[in-house]
Amino acid sequence: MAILADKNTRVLIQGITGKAGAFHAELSQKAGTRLVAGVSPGKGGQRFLNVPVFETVETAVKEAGPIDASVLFVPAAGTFEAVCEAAEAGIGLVVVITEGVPVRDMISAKKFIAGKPVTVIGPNCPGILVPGEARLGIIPPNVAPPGSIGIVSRSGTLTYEAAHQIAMAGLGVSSVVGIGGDPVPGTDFSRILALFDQDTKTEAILMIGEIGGSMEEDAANFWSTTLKKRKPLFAFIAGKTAPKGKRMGHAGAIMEGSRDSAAAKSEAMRGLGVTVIDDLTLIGKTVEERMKCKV
Amino acid sequence: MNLLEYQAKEVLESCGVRTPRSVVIKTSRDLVKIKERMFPSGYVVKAQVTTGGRGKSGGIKIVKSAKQARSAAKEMLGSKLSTYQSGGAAVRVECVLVAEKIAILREYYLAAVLNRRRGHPVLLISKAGGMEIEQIARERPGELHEVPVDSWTGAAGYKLRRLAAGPLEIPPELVNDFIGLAKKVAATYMKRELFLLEINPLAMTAAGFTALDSKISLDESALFRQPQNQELYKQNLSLLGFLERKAKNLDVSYIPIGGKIGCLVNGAGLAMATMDLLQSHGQAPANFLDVGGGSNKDQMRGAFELLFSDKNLTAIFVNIFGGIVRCDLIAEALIEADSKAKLRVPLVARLMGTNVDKAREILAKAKMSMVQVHADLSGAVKSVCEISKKSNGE
Repeated sequence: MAILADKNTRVLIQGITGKAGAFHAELSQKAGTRLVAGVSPGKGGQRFLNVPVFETVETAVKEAGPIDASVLFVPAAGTFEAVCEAAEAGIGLVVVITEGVPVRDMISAKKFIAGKPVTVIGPNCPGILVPGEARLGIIPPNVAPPGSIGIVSRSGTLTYEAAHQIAMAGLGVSSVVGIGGDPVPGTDFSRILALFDQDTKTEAILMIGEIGGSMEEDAANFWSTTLKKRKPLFAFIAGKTAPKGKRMGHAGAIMEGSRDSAAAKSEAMRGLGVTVIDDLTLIGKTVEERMKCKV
Repeated sequence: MNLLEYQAKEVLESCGVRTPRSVVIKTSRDLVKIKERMFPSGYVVKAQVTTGGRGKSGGIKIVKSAKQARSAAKEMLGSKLSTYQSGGAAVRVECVLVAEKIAILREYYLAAVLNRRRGHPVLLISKAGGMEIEQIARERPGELHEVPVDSWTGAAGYKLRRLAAGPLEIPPELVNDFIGLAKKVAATYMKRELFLLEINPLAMTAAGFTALDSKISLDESALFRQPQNQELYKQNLSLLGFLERKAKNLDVSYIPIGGKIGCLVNGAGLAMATMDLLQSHGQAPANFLDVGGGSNKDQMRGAFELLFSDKNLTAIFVNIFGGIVRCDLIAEALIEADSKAKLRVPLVARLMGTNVDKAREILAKAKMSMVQVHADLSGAVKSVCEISKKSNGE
């Protein structure tokens, strides 16, 4: 078992014939992903990577369905509609890789999907990796072997670094989930923590956060109260040296007040019993030591 | 991107929010715009910079006559202003706003902003105007009120009325004026796709509400469909430093921080974490530089050249976790940049991930005496920090 996806997940890629879509579709297929169809307006009727390409998500579901998940490699300006289209076609998991989606579009998208049975991951995220089983997005497939650590993160390459360190420490990962670095993510940390809590394969959770907002503290709180700290939670927060009021790369990483600084987040999380790792080079080691003690 | 006060003022005026009469001074030739008896109640001379806290650093002067206003404006134009919020950096004043002094009955705080926890925008309103929002939240949290902004229906009038008549203590004859203004602010925030629209202070006068100072931050992702924002964005590019402008042209994300070790990293999270790591070793990073996840070789080369042209650096630290970005491409970009712009300080590169072996081969062949390559992150950091310490005489 893993969370959100596994080797049986039937995957659609929206924007499959675009540059990024095509590149990652092929890599994902090689990494074990069960790719069943693609959507590319204007390219309907073609075959690509041995799967059919359709004009719309609706026809893809009708003719190549059932489809469990869709991965979006569409332009930022078209993301809002692509999310709506996938949700309306009844797809339960929509992973939005696209970066630069206007905030207003995500506000509208969240309003559109409210009450519908769909989970949106992203935008501006690396997606989901279940090593050896499924890759929904752009995470390097060999970054870590299968194992028992669940990783959830707002970053991309920082996540790979963490997963790599987990691998170097002789451990593996159950699922890696990048929820994205934007101010309005489709899914927040708490929701993913709840999934990892229920997942039999996951024994501990690593959360990679950043400055900006209060999602990390909220998730730590949720872990402590609702999830009753059943599984150990490790956290790393990037941005201790980030100046106030400057957007660090992507729209979500901005420290607006003293409360969303890395130091304030770390302190709040420690207070709740989270193992907060301060040194970037010690992520793997800290998790390893703690997991050894448990045995 | 943040707008200057006078630009924000123009945005507010264009959507019907009252602001004080004013003139904008961009060069000394504009000083004649400040006329005798133009503002009988007094002249407020304000340096136009995007960093907050200017009032405490001499960036705002209140004078009685046009003559005094002209001389204050002249003095401010071209001067350097550093405030407690600019992090020690001095910002050049390229523009001055001279506004009419207003007789204020009471100061309020009003802002439209995204509530991240709820995932939708809200209006933040407080009677404690003039204070910074953080300070209000910390010291008088009970006086900070939130009204949701719906993307379709805006801010609800009845909720605003309840607040106005209740905790905000707005006199009945001014309540409708307040509601009208708050609704306009909410609508403008949505329509113009802003990250922040803050009016502080919002002055209550006998004649109604007036925005004395305002701050606007644009959603850069929405520029493609916001031609007016695009125009403002273009205007403000010229306010950026040379290196920042260069980075914008390359479409990489660069923010100067002030230390001596230049950083080049792929990914914003890893870039921040790398800066934190240097700082924890007692060495200050010079910048945040995220070359992105899918950057091409030209972009990479440009990013290297950008760092090579920064004369304040004592060393450069490169941290690449190749996923989609291939390490061999980074190696080639580094060599090309060196042949064009010449690397003058030691460069420590930590390369990991896709095609790292090929990258090592390429760099070994190039025999660059200033370049060290590591696979291990902690070893690389120690190495660059030692170089930095040595050159600092530590």
